[in-house]
Amino acid sequence: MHSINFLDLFQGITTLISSPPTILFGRLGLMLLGMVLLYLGKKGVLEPLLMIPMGLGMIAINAGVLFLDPTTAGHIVNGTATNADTPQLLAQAAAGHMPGTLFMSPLVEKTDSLMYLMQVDFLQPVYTFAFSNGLIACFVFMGIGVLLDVGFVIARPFLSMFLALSAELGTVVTFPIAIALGLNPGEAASIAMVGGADGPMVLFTSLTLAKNLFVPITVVAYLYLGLTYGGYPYLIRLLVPAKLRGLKMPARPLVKVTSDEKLAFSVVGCAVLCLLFPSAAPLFLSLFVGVAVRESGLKYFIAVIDGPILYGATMFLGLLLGVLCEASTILDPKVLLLLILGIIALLLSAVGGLLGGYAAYFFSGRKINPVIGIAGVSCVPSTAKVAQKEVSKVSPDSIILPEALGANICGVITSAIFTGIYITLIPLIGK
Amino acid sequence: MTPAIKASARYWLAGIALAIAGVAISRLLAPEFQARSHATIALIGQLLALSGLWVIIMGIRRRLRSQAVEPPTITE
Repeated sequence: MHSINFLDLFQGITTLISSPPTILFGRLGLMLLGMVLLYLGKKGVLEPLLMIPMGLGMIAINAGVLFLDPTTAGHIVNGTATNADTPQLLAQAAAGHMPGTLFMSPLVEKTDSLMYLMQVDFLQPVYTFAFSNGLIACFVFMGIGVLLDVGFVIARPFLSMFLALSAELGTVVTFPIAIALGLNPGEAASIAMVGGADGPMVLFTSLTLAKNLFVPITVVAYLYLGLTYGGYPYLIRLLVPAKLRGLKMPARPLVKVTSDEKLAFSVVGCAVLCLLFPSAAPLFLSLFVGVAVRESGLKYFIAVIDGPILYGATMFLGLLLGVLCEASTILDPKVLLLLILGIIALLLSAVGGLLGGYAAYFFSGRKINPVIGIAGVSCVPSTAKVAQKEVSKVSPDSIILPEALGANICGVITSAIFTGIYITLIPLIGK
Repeated sequence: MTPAIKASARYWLAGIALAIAGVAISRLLAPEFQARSHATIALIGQLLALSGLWVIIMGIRRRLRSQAVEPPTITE
C-alpha cells in the first residue's frame, strides 16, 4: 500500500509552500486583506454590499489554489494570448504541476479553451458572459438610473453642472500625471476615471482601454470608492471652516419638473450622447433606460431593476472582483503606481468640487454653502449624504440635500461623458 | 404634447435642432477634415450638441420660474 502524503491531500497548503516567495506572501497578504475588508464591511466603514462578497472571494481564491489536471492546465496556457514563456508553462501543465483554481481563468481568450473552462470553472460563465463584456457594469448603471431624479439637475442646472465639472478635476489632471509616470494612454485614462468616483465607469473604461490591467485598476477603484464615505468628511472639515459649513441657504420657490419633461429630456439626452459617443453608448442606454423606467412609472420594471438586477449585479460584481484578486493575477509591478494614482484622482476631484463650491459661494453673494461642492463627485448618493451630514453636524436645521443631489446626479452624467471622451479619443491618440 | 412641454415648446425644438446640428458637425462633417482640424471641428460639434441639451434645460427652467410658488414664510 502506498503511503499517503498529506500535503497532496491538502493541496491549498502544498501550492502555498511550493510557490515563489512573492506569490507566497502575496497570497497570504491578500487573504488577510480579504478578512480586513470583510470586517470593515460588516462594521459599515466600507460598503458592505461590495466588501463582504469581495473579501470572502479574495480569501477563497488565494486559499483554494490546487495543481490543475494536465488538460485544464493545457487549455489555460494555450488559451491565454499573453503567455510569454509558453514552452516552460506547457511542460509544467503537462506534468500536472501547474497551480490554478476552479473558480475562473480571467486571462483566457481563445474560444475553444473558454468553452472547455466554462464546464470546469464555476464562475467562468458569469465572468465571460456578464463581466468581461461590461454587462454587470451596465446592470449597476441601470439600477443607478432608476434611483436618479433628473429633476434635481433640471431645477438647478447652472449650479449642478458647474459643481459636477469642478469635481472632475481628478479625472482630467490624473491623466497627464499617469502618462508622466510611465503608463500608456489607455491605462492612464482608466486610472484617471477613478476621479469620477463611479465604479461601473472605471470598470467599463479599463475593460475597453486597458484589458491587461483592468483587474488591479477596478479593485483599486472599488477599494477607494468605499473610502469616500469614511475619508471625505475629514477633507470637508479640513478645507471648509465650521462657520461656512453651517451656512443656511435661502429657501427657493417650490417647483415641480413633470415626469413628462424628465422622460422627454432623458430620451433626447440619451439619443444625443449615443450619437456623439457610440463607444460609451451601452453606459448611456443603461443609465437612461433606468431614468425612463422611473419616469414612466413602470412599477414592475422599477421593482426588477431596483431589486434583483441592481443587487444581484452588485453581489456578483463584489464576488468576481474578490475572485480576480488571485496573487498571480493581481501582483503586477504597476499596482503600487495605480494605488497612488487612484488616491490622487479621488483627492483632486474632491478638492476640485470644494473649490467649485467656494466659487459658487462667492459668485452667489455668499448664499450657497460651499460643502455642496463635494457632492459633484459622482458617487451616488454617498457624497450628497456626506455633504448633508457634515452640514447637519454644525447646523442641524440647514438643508442642502436637494442642491447636493442635483450636483451628484449631474456628476454621474458628466462622468459618463468623460468616459465617452476617453474611450473615443484614446484609440485616436494611439494611431 | 403635454401642457408642460407645450409651455416651453420653442426651447425644445431649438434645443433638439441645435443638438442634431452638433451631432452632424461632429460625426459627418469633422471626418472629412485632416487630423487637427478633424479634432477641432468634432469638439465644436460636441459642444454644440451639448448646448442643445442645455437649451432644453433652460426652457424647462423658464417654465418652472413662471409657475413657481413662493415657499411659505414662518411667522412668529
